[in-house]
Amino acid sequence: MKVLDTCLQKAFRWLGLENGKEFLLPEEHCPARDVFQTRLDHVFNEMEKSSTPTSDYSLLTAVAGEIGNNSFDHNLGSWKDEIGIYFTYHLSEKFILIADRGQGVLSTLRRVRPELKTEAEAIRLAFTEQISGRAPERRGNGLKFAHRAICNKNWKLYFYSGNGMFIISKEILEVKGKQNIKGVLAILQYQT
Amino acid sequence: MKIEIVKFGELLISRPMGKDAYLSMTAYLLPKDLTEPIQLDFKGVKVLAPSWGDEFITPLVKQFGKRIEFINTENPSVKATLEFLQ
Repeated sequence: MKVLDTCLQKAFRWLGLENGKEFLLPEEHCPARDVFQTRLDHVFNEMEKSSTPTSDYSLLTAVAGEIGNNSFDHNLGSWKDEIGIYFTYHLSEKFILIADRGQGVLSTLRRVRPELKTEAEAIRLAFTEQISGRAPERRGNGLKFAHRAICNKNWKLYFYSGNGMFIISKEILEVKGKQNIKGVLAILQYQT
Repeated sequence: MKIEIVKFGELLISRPMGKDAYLSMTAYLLPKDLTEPIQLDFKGVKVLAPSWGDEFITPLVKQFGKRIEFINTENPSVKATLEFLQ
């Protein structure tokens, strides 16, 4: 079994639990933004030493940083139970996985767009418009930046929130499925 | 004047870090009566994400407009972030 499959199974199990506390291993769990930043530094250093092209690893780190920091930005004080994110990666299989047991995209954006009805609508909006649940703060660029980088580099992002799922590449493609997770799951796959 | 961005860190990613860097820069580095151009020098920066940039660069550009100049911006994430913020 590939490492990605194992990590995905673990992420879905965690995001399906009634209570997500004490499920992740300490090395997979970033309970605070500082821990995430430190591990991201470590990923960057490993990529720098690996065969990952120079033109890719700084952008990959920036995109992963935007996605991971979104979890902390939008769930401060609103985590379902376990505070923080599941963060893992694999340089040979070329993926970065980030998950949180937070509010999800719909719940976050509904505060500023009450007309939003589904997770799918909310996810599409998050990747295409400058919008943030933290209005009046001027935020909401991170996922647009991620989309632009993904388009330019021909990467792929699998993005789940609640019962919504999208494959983000040059297109933003909704995939209908039966999954319904507690929070957000993002898997960035990069080709080099 | 020239501000060496790498002095705030090599990996510049989150909003809180960007905001803190901006407050520190305005308190300690920016003279109150500055009239000359400001060069933001990205030499040595390994990763710049738009969240950090939006907290640090956007208010500077808002305040000083065309007096802000960006140099040593070859790093792919620096380049992508600056293009994105403009």
